[in-house]
Amino acid sequence: MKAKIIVNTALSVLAIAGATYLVKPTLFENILFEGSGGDNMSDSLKLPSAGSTGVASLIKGSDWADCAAVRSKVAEEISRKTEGMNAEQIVEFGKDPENRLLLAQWVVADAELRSMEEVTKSTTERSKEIEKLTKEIEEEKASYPKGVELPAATAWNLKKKEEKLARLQQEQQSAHLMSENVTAEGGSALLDKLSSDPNWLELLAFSGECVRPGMAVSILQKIAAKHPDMTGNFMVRDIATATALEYAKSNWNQQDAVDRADFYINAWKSNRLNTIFDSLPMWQRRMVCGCKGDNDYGSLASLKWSLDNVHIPGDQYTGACWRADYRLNNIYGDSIHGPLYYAPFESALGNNRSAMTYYVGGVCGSLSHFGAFAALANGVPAMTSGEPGHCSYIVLTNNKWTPAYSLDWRRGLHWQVFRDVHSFSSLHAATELYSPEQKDITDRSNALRVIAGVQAGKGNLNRATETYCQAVTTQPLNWMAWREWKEALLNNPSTTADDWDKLNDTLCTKLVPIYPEMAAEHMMKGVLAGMADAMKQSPERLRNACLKFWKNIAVTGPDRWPVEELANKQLDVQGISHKNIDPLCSYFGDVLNILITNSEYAPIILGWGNELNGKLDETGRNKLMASIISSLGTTGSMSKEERIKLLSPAVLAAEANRDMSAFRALGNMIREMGYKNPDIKMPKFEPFPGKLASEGGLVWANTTSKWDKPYEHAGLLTPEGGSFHTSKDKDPSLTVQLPRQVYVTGVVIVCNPGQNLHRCNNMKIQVSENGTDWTDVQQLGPCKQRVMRADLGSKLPLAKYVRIIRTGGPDFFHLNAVYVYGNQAA
Amino acid sequence: MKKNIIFWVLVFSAIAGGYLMTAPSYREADTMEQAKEIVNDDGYAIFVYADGWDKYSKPTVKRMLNSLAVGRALGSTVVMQAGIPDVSTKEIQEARKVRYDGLEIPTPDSYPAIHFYNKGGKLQGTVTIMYDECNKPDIVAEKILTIRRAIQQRKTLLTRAEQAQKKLTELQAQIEAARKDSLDSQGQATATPETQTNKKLTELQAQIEATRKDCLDILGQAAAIPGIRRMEEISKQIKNLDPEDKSGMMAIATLNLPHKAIATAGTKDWKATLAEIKGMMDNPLLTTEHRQQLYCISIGLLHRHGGPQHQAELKEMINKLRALDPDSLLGKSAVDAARLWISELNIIEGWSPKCLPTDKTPVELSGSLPIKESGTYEVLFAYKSGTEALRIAAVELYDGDKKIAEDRHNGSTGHKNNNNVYSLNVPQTVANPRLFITFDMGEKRDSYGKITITKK
Repeated sequence: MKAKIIVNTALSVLAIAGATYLVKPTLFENILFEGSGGDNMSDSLKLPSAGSTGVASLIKGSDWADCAAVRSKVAEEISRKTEGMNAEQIVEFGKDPENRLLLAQWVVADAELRSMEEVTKSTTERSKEIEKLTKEIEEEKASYPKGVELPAATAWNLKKKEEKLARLQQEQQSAHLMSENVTAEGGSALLDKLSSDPNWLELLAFSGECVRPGMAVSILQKIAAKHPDMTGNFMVRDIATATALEYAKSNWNQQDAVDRADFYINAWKSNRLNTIFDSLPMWQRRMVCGCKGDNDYGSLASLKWSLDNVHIPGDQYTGACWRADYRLNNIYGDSIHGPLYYAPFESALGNNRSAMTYYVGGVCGSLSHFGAFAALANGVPAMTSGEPGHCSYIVLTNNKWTPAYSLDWRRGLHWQVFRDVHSFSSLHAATELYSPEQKDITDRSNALRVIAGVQAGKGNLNRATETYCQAVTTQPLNWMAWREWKEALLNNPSTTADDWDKLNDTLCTKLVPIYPEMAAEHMMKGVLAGMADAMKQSPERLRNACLKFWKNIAVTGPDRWPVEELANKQLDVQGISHKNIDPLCSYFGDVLNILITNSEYAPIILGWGNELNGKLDETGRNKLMASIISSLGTTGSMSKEERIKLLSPAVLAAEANRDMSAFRALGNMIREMGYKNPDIKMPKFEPFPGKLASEGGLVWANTTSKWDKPYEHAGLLTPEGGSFHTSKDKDPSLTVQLPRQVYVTGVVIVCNPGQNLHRCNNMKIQVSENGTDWTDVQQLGPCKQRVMRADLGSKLPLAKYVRIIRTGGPDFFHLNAVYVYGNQAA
Repeated sequence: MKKNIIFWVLVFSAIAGGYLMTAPSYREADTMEQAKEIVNDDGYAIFVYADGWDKYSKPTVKRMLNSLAVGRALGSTVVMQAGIPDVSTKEIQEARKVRYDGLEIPTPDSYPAIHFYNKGGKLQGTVTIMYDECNKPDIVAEKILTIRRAIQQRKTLLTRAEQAQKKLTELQAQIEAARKDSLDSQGQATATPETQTNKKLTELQAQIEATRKDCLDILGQAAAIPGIRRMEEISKQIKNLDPEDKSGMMAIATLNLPHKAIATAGTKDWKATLAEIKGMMDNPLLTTEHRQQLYCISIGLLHRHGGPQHQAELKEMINKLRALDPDSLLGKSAVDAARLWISELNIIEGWSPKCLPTDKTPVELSGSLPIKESGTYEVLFAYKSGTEALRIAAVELYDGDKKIAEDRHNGSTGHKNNNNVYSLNVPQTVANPRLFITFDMGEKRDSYGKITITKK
């Protein structure tokens, strides 16, 4: 009996165990996903509880009712504490948490006072808009009998107006100033916390621009109401702060800011963001959370859609724009340039502009926004950027700012880390400035910057100049320190030429060698004007100050930048125009002499010379040419062809730098110098439909050779023809970069006359939108006549680049011309 | 004791048997090399997930593979997993190529996802696991089943198409032979009676045509299966069988209607284009989406070029577009299209050139009409602006579909009014009042004004 029980029990256990094992997979069916975000917050994310920062603050929450008094009180304390300190002592001063609080409090108070006028203005404007809109709605409603059903179009327009009014009214009721926050419910308590937490307050003061901090605090207050853990979880706090700062910076709707922060907080808590987001520096988190807060691609619906539908690895976002179709007209046939392109889809998709673009289509603007916001929605830093006649975007890929759908180096950022700075370089400069490696020197530089600001506020320009100089010498990438130094000089009537010289010298020796474009921005945004004003009596001094920039230049920076714009501005402030031939040629000659051995800048300056050349009369042109010849290290007794040959390295450099404007300018210069190869006689041919899209483009061969005449390269795209000659390569090629993106209708290739037509056998035509990914569009056969035609009318490939590869074994490759025809795409 | 043992053996057997019948039978492999050894007709599936750049897709894949529902849905597919890093350097891409033997692993719409391949390693389709499905293996399993069914269906159709093509080749050989038989060694007609030869040839030709049609139909069905990757080969086969596209199959396979919309956007000869599009509607192979797109293109042409006299047609097209599939995006867009482009004669807005027809078709006055009780009602037309006076020919009142009153006389309202009031004697209470107005404007319609109805 006992044995029976034991056996039965054993069998039962075995059966249960077996059954459990066999059905095990089903136990997984409904296990809820375990997040490790907010709800399971690790200790490292927890912030010290309120009042436990242990830092005594001079300023209490309620003190912010009077920001002028705060700034003054803090300035006094900073002055008292730093009086007589040397640079090393100031470094020590900046490390103390109490002092860090003082420095940040001063910046916030100063920013608030600077913003007050703008806030008042915007409140008045909003009030007028509310009044106008209210009247319009009332009048429109009054024109219809009560209780009747309004026609669909009228009802729709009225609804839109009412929604806009409600948003404006809500915004008007929100606090926009520190003083208003103090009196708002819970505002003083939040300000108490903020004022006594150096880590948090420094985010406001030193993570980029601090604009309208009163409005930022109001947004924080609203986010805290929705997310009470804001003051207890550092990621929630950082997302809230980043969003608040950006929306305040651009004076966008506060409720939208709350929605945006809510999206990122929830997405982060549920572990949905790309993990890059977890370790973003604050300035990049600001970019992610606050990019284009007034744009429908950043609406809550769009962000949610992108997070759901475009969750891909970081390196794929540069191609995400092509998820949507490039369509100039929607399915109804209405153009994107009119108001009806997206209008028929508004009821269904509302402000979900990303879905709208995906389903309806778009052109460069919509596609680039789609790509950028797909990355942003997933927590990956990105932004759109403007290029001449085009919209592109930039994504942070593998710690590198990568342009996407880009057609030109001339690009202006649609999100700025520093106010009014749109240059591509600013992203790279900020990456270094706020990097962990440079944190110490950036903190030190910021401490010096604030002390200089306090000194300047007290009217002590000499000391302020000295301290600003220390700040930028410590950290040359501290854009705001440079700007405030410049403003201090501009705002002080006793500023001398020496003061400007000091700023110019420091800028040229510290910033020009590493970030010339950033330095040029400073130059063009006040430094040149300030110097010109102070050095009115000494033109030579001003000239030398201007030349100093070129003497210190070493690198191009992350990409080509508008060098010619700075050079023209320098002429401008010196009062030199095309009418002052001698000073113009002399200054141009000096700049060229400085840069002639610099392979990156020489072609650009030669191109600038050509631009100037176009404005001069014959005497002027001869003198300018003499300057060029002289800079090229030769005498005026050379033949025309010999002179032109000297430009070959510059042409090849422009090609290697993919610098279309310099290449074009050099081509014009060579033509204007009267050069023409009499051996190049162009045959007649039938063009393809559309425009000659290759005109004004850039062309380069895969290699050069001893038979190559680079000064004839530009002619390859002109009716007169030109030439190039590769060495004996496996797949020699010629690439044409078109000035703009086109739908290619056809390509005409003109081969060199003579016995070597076989060198043009088996040419393959490829197109590309980015110069990296190529698509074969036509394979040509044996070459039996000079003119070869590739009709692409049935394919109409979209292209920014066209490449002709000579396939079929090692050979030389040479042509007299390539003409690409097409219809403009964007 | 014995009985007990037998009982438990039976219990075990039942459980094990049940398990074996329902348990997942997919096989896992780490590399393509291993996978190739065990693959069968169910092919391969690669579960792709974020390798370190998100925190949920890898556990989701694990959860799915542990799920009975997903396991069953996978059948005997050979399953591999691929973690895709945030940045795929060339080295990583090369390593991936080696590990998966060059298998195409494209970026799905979103991660995680499952790529399905046939036995030959050709990508057939992809299932994306949406975030809100991460805890719902049943839904994912259903998606897997759907795509696998689609792949299987296409495979079956392609096998049938292959058989049909084989038959076609045989028939072509037969007809060739028959033709040869009808000639002697000199190439002259043999003594076989002409009618007999012709009959045979005609029969064979008819069989060939029928088989070709059959084959094209099968290929057309295979090409139209939704939710899986399109196969270039199918289009090629269709083109080979029907180079001139007499069947219309290629036209459907290559139909790019958004492109058509772009091409016709600014067309001058819009009426001809509209007629051409209407002609396309007759093609029975068109899908609902194709038809919706054709309506959209037509609506676009009408709203841009049509003018008021085409309002009725425009309205009809919009209604048809909506009716085809009201829940689809294009179906929903019909609501906006109506708001944007249909100009109705409305009691609140009055008239404007957009809602006045060029002919004498009666136009219904929309909106809430103040007509209910019996009595006399006056309809007053009051001109406000424009270069033209409004010319009216008649006003008719209906209760639903039944006419109950009318006033026919020529009236006008402009800088001067002439008989611009129309009286309607309403004999009884009106449940559903509908007012129709006949205008007499012709091409000159630049006129704006209000319409009021009052009870006397």
